[in-house]
Formats: sequence, structure tokens, C-alpha cells
Amino acid sequence: MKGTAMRKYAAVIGILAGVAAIGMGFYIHSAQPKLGPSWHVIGILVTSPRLLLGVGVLMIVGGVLTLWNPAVGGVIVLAGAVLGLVYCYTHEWHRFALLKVWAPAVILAWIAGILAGYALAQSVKAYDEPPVYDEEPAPPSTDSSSASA
Amino acid sequence: MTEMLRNQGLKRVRMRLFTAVIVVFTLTCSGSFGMEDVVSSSGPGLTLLMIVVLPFLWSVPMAFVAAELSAMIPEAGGLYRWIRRALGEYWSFQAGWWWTLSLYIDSAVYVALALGYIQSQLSLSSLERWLVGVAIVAIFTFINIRGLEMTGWSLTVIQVIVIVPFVLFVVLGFIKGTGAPFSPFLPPGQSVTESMNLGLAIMMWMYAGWESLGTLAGEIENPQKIIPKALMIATPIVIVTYFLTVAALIRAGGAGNWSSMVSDASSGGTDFLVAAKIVGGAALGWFMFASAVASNIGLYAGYLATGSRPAFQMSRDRLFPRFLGKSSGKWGTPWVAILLMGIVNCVLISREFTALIVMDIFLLMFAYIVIFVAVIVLRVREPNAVRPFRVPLPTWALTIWVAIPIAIAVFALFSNGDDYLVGGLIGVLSGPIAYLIFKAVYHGTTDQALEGSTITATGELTDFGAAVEGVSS
Repeated sequence: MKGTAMRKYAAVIGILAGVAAIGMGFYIHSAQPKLGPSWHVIGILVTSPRLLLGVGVLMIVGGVLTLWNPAVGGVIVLAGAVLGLVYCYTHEWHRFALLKVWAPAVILAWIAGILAGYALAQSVKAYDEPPVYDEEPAPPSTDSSSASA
Repeated sequence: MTEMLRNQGLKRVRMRLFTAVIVVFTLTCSGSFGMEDVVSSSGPGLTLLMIVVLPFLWSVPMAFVAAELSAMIPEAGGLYRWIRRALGEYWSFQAGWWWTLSLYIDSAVYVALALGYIQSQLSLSSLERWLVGVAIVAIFTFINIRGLEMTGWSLTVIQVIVIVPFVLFVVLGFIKGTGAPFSPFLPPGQSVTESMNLGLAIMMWMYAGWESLGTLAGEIENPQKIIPKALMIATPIVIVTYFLTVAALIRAGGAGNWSSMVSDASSGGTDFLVAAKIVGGAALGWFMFASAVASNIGLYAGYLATGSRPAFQMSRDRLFPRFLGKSSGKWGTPWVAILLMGIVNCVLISREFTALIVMDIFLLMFAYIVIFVAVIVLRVREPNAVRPFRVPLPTWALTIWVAIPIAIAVFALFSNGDDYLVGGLIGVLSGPIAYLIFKAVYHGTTDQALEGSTITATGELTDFGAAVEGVSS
């Protein structure tokens, strides 16, 4: 199957991103448990360690899903990274310290997203004709395992 | 025949070299408003030195690279198609997305800046301010949809309004001013690195935009000749404009007044408007006010034109929603892509969008880095391809030359503060997410089936061009 190897790489890197986030979550839980003010989301106290752990789990799920569908899995992994960056951005006085904690997961998620993109490009069959604006033809059939987001 | 040549529904128009130079000047300079902050943060001497030296390390490489790529690949969408040919669909989408997102934000900034200048002279309520902004957006959206001829004419008129006050200001500034343009060289007590940090970021911004005209290649007759010539002519004009106007500003500001220079002097300090009043009285002050408003409106009109084209082309390549790929049958312009950009601008200027601005530099820098990589890849992969304009350097020397702006871009990414770094990363990560979604939904088009240019790099009809013209190639 086309793109299988790339999917595996994307999945592995995505899972590693999640592991890195969880690892950093445990690290700051012990070293700097009060790093950055918390978010309050629907009554739940979201501290930095908790967010890292939660996003780490999300990224691992995304990484595993990449094996089934690079678009869905890749988006989930990257969404976790974006969530972490938004958390960093909203904590002005701790922004750089938080970024250092999130950096391994964000960088790995970005790489996973790039690989998922390549895997998707290899598995989705592109049109082999220019667009027709009156009546666009049906999309070409793709691998059974590739799906739309 | 090429007068009515249609390229993917786009109409090619005859753009005079003079007009093309005006367009490049608008996109890369359009007056010197904003340079005031560089003077106060970097010192007068270093500012003038940076104005002369930085282009050769930053903007001249981009101007030459854009000239080579525009001539080699004269296709609508410009940088998006250059990168597609060099690095494939994934990276071309990334660069196209980053660049387009950046310009959606940028163009709104220019309207906001124009409104800021208007607000400084006329007390407008927030509703009146927004309505004036919407009027500016609506007028130039319509002009852009009408086609490049009208856009070119409007930019020419705007640049006359921008430049004439500056010419008067430079003459009077040097005659009547008392400030020393090169003294002090640095702000007292600051190192060269400290002085350069903020100034460099602003100046990189002021010297950006050279790649933009290439996005219009699908709508200009003989783009492979006009675009490189326009870039080569505009480059020294922009450098001289910045140098003379900033030197005149420092002189006009008066001895020792350089440290109070700010780009918005509404709450004190000296900007071009205040300096113009000092040397030319109220009349020149009002002329300079008109110039400031026109400068930002010109930048808006120019970036509305160029910023909408990659989105159009990505839609035609089935990587963006289909409606963005529609073109006007009457005027041969990508009217939906232009209109959408105008609508987004109207929404942005109605609210505070500082958080989005921090993404801007990162998005643009990443797109620039990919363009520089693309030109080298094409030199290596297609050494014998027709290049009507070629950077007069062997590939190894060009590699070294473009490595410098790449290094400056990377330095800028980390020197603008953590808000820009984190905000910028969020913007950059939106690229892979967008690709995964749009590729899964729209599937893309194979390289072989892409709608190419209707003309070759040598100006002859391609098979595609012959087909749309109904003649044998």
C-alpha cells in the first residue's frame, strides 16, 4: 500500500510527541508544579502538568489513528501542539519557561504532521485533469484506508 | 493576440514597465512611514547604515530570486507555483498558506494604520472609523476586481500623492533642518547588537514584498520580461527613497531630537508629520498627512491584489475550496478570492487583532525560507531550463548569497520576543493542519495535470495556451 511506511513514521513520531508531553508533565509536576497560572475550563482546574498529560494522551491517540487515517491522526496530534502553544501564549509572564517545557512535544508533533501530510499525499489519488467549473467530475477513487477529514 | 489571452479564466493585460515599477515600489516601500521607530531604537547612524547595507543581505537577494523564478515560471500564484515545481505539492501548499495568511492579516493592518492617521486629525467615533475602513476596503476591492489595469492606474495616482510631499520634505529638511544624520551612530550606552534588534525587525519588514508581483504573472503580458525588469529598476529606487527620506527626517527633527522619533506621534514625539510641519509649516504637514494615508491605502490595494492570487491558484489546483477558484468572465480576475480577502479585512478592522499580528512575521519568514530553498533546488534539478532572467551567479555562489537572508530570517524569528515566537509557531502549525484537511477533502491535482501558464518562459504559446486560444501550437 502506498504511503504505508510514511504513515508508520508519522504514527511513531506522533506517539513520541505524546510521550514527550507526558514526560515533561511528570517532570514539571515534580520540579515546578506551579509553573504558569492555571486555566479553569468548565469548572476543571487545568494546570500545566495536567494539560501536558492530557495533551500527551491526545497525541498518542492521534499518533495511533495516523495508522488508520493520516489526515485525522495528523490533525489530532497537531491540534494538541496548538493547544499547548495557546496555553503558553496566554501566560505572558511564564511564556518562555512554558515554551521550553512544551518544545519537545511541539517539534515532534510538527514533524509528525509533515510526515502525515506526505503519507496522505501518497494515499489520496489526486485528479489527473484540470478543474471543470460547470460540472466537476467525481473525485478519483483512493486507497480504502485513506479517508477525508 | 495576447491582449485577450485567457489563462485559467484570467485576462492578461498590458502592464507598462513604469506601472510595474510603481506596483513593486508600492509593495516594497510606499513611503517611509514606520522608519521613525528604527531611528530612535537603533540610532541615526546605524539606521542609515542599515538602510544601505541590509538590502544587499536581505531584499536584493529576494528581488533577484523573485526575478529569476518569475521569469522561469510565469504562472498565476507566483511563489506557490515556483515552490510546487521545486519542492512539490506539500511545501508549496505550506508556503502558499503561510504567505496568504500573513497577507490577510497584513492588509488589514494597512487599513488600520490609514485609519489611525485619519483618526489623529479627525475625531471619529468607532462606528464612523469602521465605516471609513469598510469604504476603503470596498473601493479597492472593486478596483481590484475590475482588473490590473485599473489597479495599476490607482496605484500610480496613490504613489504621486505619497511621493510629492516626500520630495518637498527632503529638500526642505536638508535646507532648514539642524539635526546631524549620522550622529550619534548608536544610542548612548547601547551595544551594536542591542541597537540592531528592534531596528532590524522593522527594517526587514520595510524591505519585504519583492516576491509579491510574481503572483500576478498570470495576468500580465510578457511577465517573464516585465517582472524582472521592474524588480531591478525598483530596487535602487526603494533604497534611495528610504535613505534620503530618513536622513531628511533626522535633519528636520532637529539636533538631538532623534531619540523622540516614533511612528505614531499622536501622544508626543516626532514622526514624519511633525517633522514636515517643523520644516514646511502646516501646509507641508497636511501634505504629509495625505501622503501617510495614501501610503497605507496603496499598500492595502497592492497587497489585496497580490495576496488573493495564491489562494485562487491553490483552489484551481484543488487544494482550497472550489469557490475561490472562480474568475470573472467579464474582467478576467479572481473575483471571489479578492472579495473574500476584502470581507476578512472588514471583519479584522472591526476588532482588536494584535494577537494575529504576532503571527505575521513568522509566517512570512517561513515562506521566504522556502522560496530561497526552491531557487537552489531548481538550479540543481533543472540546470538547463529556460531562464529569461538569471541571477548572475553560479549556483554555489547563489547558495551562499541566499544563506545570508535565511540566517537573518532565522535570527529575526528568535529576536522579536516570546509573544512573536509562540504566536508565530501557532500560525506555522496551522499550515500542516490546513494541508491535511484540504488535501483529504479536495484531493489535489497531479503535477502533470496542473493548469500551466499559457506561455512558456520564452513567451511562446504552450499547448495549454494554444488550446484556450483555439489555435494550433
